[in-house]
Amino acid sequence: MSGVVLYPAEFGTQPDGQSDSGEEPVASGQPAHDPAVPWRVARLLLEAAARSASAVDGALNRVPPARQVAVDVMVGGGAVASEVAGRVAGRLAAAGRSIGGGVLGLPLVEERLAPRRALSRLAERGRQERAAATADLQHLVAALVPAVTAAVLDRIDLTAVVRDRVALDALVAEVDVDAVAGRIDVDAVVARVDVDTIANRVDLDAIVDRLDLVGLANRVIDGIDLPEIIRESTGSVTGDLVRGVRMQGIEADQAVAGLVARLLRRRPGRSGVDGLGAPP
Amino acid sequence: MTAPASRIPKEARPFQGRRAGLATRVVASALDGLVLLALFAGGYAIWAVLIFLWSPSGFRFPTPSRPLLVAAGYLVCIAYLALCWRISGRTYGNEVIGLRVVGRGGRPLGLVAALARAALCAVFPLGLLWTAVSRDNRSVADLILRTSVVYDWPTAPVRAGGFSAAARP
Repeated sequence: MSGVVLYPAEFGTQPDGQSDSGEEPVASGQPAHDPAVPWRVARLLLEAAARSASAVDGALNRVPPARQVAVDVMVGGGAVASEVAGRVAGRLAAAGRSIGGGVLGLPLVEERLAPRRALSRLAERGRQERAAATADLQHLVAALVPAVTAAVLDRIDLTAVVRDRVALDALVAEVDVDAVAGRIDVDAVVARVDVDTIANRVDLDAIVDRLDLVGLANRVIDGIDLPEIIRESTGSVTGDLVRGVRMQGIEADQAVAGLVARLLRRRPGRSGVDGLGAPP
Repeated sequence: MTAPASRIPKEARPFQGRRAGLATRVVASALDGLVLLALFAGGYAIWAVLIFLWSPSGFRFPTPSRPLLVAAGYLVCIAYLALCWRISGRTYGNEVIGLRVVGRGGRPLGLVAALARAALCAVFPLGLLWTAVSRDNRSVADLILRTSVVYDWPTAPVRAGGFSAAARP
């Protein structure tokens, strides 16, 4: 939680108890005190209160100029008072240091009552108080943040905000869809699907009633050309028989030609016809 | 002039366009003889029916004389062969066996050549046997008219009862 963290500069410690120098926090006696710090805190609180009041008045359309002037006067007066107080405090601190230095040097002063020891205990007490305050603050934040967040979310249309202010196309363009698809176990997904249940829920009768089965059958028959199939199927049987007879006829021709050639003791003659070449 | 190679078996392609031998031509002629018998019988039946329609009461089956029968037989045979060779180069027997009659250079026969060849084949059918002796597989009619009978398988198979629709002129 950010904010103005104020702690005695002369102690040289952080709010978590750690020392900048690593030494026990003691009063250094150096004139590091900033007399304007209390006033700065008061000024911040005053400014916050003034702006809150102004915001409320603005929301209610009631903005009295006199109130703004009064706040300005208070801030100005406070500033002058702080400056005067700082000067007086500086002079008193210088005088106190000179007197305190002499007292601390006296040998008869009791150890328990020594000013250096008293300041150390005071610093320790301060740390404890601040730790307790921090814990209280955390409890307060833990209680307030969920409630405030829920109230804010109830007041705004988060979907509209995302749609108006987020470049969804750019985000989706950067998504590696192939990688996402590759991580999907399709088999597992399919295994979880109860196909039988789905099939049982399908109203096949309604589907069949909506189909024009007669028209569909006519279209199929028109596309198939059934007479041509019947012609080809019967023709193929006849064709096989005829091809067999033709091939046997050719073989018989060759056998007769060979027999005659042997009887006449001659080589088979030329059987080609000019202009009728055999196809490749 | 020959059938497309895509519809012809690979083993038969080398023979396409070559002169056919005695065996296939005899088988084709035998089939043509059956066709001629069917035509002759059909003609006789038609003649008988016409006689019956003309005079049902005195109907008797016609008994033509022998010369008339011979003359009618030659006439039908020559007409059948000549028309088939002129139109498509094939008779029914040629269509079944995969033969075709061609003239010089593989050209189709003209009407005169078809008639002359049909007459020679009808008058002297034994001239077909010279095909076995001839070095070029030519019959007597082929030698006289310079014709040839070649292997030329039709692209479509022959259906029973008629010529194939794919028979080419």
